[in-house]
Amino acid sequence: MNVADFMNAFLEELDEQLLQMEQQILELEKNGDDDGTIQNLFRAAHTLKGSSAAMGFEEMKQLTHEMEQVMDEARSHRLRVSPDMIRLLFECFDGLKALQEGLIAGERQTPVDIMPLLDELRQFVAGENLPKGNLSVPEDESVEFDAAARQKAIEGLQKGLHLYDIHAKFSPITVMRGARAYVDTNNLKGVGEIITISPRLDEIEDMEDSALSSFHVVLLTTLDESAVHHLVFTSDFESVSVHPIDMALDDVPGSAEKSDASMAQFPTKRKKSHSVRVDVEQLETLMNLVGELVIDQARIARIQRTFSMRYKGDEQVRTLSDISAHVSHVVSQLQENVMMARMLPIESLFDRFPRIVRDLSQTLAKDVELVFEGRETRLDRTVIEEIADPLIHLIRNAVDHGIETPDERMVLNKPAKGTLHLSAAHEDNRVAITVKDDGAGISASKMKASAVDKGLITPAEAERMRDFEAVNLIFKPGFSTAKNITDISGRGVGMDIVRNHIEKLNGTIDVHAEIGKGTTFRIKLPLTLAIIPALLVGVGDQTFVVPMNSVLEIVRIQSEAIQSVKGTPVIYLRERVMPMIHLRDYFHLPVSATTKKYLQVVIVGVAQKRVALVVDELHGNQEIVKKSLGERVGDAHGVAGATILGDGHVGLILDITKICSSVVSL
Amino acid sequence: MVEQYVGVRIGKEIYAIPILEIHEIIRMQEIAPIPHSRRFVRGVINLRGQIIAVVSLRECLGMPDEEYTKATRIVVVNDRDGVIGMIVDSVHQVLSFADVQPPPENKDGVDSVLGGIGHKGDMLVSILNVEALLKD
Repeated sequence: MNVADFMNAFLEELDEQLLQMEQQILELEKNGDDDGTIQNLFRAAHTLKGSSAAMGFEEMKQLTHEMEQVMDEARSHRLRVSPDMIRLLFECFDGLKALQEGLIAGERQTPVDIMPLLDELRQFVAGENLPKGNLSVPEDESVEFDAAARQKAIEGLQKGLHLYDIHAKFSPITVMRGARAYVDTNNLKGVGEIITISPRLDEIEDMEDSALSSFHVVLLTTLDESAVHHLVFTSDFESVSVHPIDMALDDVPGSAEKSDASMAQFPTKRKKSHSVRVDVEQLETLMNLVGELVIDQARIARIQRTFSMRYKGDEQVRTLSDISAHVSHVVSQLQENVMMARMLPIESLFDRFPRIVRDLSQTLAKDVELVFEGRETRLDRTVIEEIADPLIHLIRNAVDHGIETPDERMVLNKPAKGTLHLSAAHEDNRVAITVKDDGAGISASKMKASAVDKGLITPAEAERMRDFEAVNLIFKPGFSTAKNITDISGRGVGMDIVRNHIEKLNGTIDVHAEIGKGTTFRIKLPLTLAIIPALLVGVGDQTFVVPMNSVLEIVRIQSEAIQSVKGTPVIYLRERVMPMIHLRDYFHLPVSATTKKYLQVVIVGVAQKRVALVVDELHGNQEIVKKSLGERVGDAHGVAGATILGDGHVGLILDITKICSSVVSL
Repeated sequence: MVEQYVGVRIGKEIYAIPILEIHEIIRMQEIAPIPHSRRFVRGVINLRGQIIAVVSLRECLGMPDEEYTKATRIVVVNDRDGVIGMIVDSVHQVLSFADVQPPPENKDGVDSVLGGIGHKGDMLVSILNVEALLKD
């Protein structure tokens, strides 16, 4: 590994840990003092501290170190989780984010000044800890477990006993400390089983008073914390702290550095995921290679068929058939698995939203609960990346314009807390994502009025328009009903951009709204951008590929049915007049000699536009892998790319958007 | 080391392409024409699962296309991020030159399609500048 590899590995880990951190802070805010959450935050900070120190990123190391301190205090209940703490943790998180961005941009210069934050963190820890005093005592006296002790501890915990780490700190004036410790541990033996004592008892007896400022005892007992505390605490001690130890013993201070071998014997709560990181490019290459295999397999199968016919009954040819069948089975499984490897659960995207909603609702003084459904729905990572911005926009809109303030909601007899529902699910071969709020909804009449005002539609059109059509005006360019431009949405980035973005992904979006009840946006997306279902059509002696998502209907019409409007050939179908394009003419292919009675027509559509494409033949459906033509070809109008068909020939993919825009609207 | 070239024939002339620029040389195969593409682009082919554009070197050099024969080859050369195929009448031999002269100047200045003129005995061979050849 070279430096760049390390850097990439580090950035990936950073990303992961930051996400974890953000979730846990939100969790902490919701649930308050929760040991598990605090532990997770501690772990995240700790991990980042280690890796940033290894990479030599001083600021990040310092910041995570101070965070770790705060979490450590919280973990041992010397600090309570408070709104102040949450705010501070979020500030740290933002600081880390800023540092991360700086690293990604490759700036050596730190983009943020973290000194004030560090000071605040230190004060926070110190301020809440004042009564502790005596800073000369080393804090990090650690508890060491050996394998036998772990085993004992687990057995005890499984029996339902409590496991405590008792940290007794001598008062400065106490003498005969060794003997005191001996007596106290003896007392503890009466109420439970001592797992370890540190320093060890035989060491303690020989130690000078000055060397022994405190000791740890790990005790398995039926007693609760306060009873144990009561038992140990006497005037000889300055303080005695008792904290329960979780199953997650690996995080007892000082034992974290233990070797993996000893960790392995100790089952922790943490779920081990068996996965490795793979570079996306590598997956991409894999996908291409599988594509080539698929094509070669098809060719082998063809040769096998020829041989079978020619040399019927030949032993070798039969073997070839068996092998060919098996290979084709393996190849299709391989293809499926590689496809799956490119898929990610959508939760990696959803996890970014709680923070956005939280910040927004605080700014706007609204109370919003974010509910997820179908977090585990998997889709192609490229789709996940591309859909992030449109979704964020919809969420911001919902919180800003959709959901009302608690007061308004009370008046309307709604629960003060608004709900924002985000769900994902597979539907057929697509993914449906819905963003649903229980807010004010959209008024069709207001939409109409506003659209007429802005000159987007005529009053007559508005009159004819049905309500759901009016609501969908929201996607028209230049439309925004927000009365004043706020910081949150309405920054000129309208819903039309959202729709464009989604259509670019071969997806669709629509909206349903009920006044007073809420608004629902429904997005449908392909599972993957790499493989698209398509209709193959023959024009001349070439095969063209029409993406299935733009095919609306396939019809056969009589050539007499073609009429002409302003010189453009049109057909009249399902009460609509649509322009017609002969693909032969469009691509300057030789005109067919025979005039047929019936024409094969594929009706395609983009948004509201419909165009009838005349083709020679229909060749059926196929899943295709889209490839680009390369820049040398120039702007091949009407061609979006190419693909390799099952027989090894190249098929050109039609650019339906371009083709549709080449004819006049009727 | 002396730089090596592959000599390709267009009509009666031999042109040289630097061997390091060459990815592979394949036989003529079925080309899928691309409508509305640039004048010298003949279409795309399936090169073992990869789709690559194919251009006519004749057209690039301002000569009319001829019928493809058994000797017709597609020379696949490195191009920007990928590769591109060039149709030639035939592939001649591997060449190396004792001396390479800068290309002759014409009225408009240096003829950039030629990277130079190679001397081999009393034979003069034009060395092609592939990048310039494919520019708009």
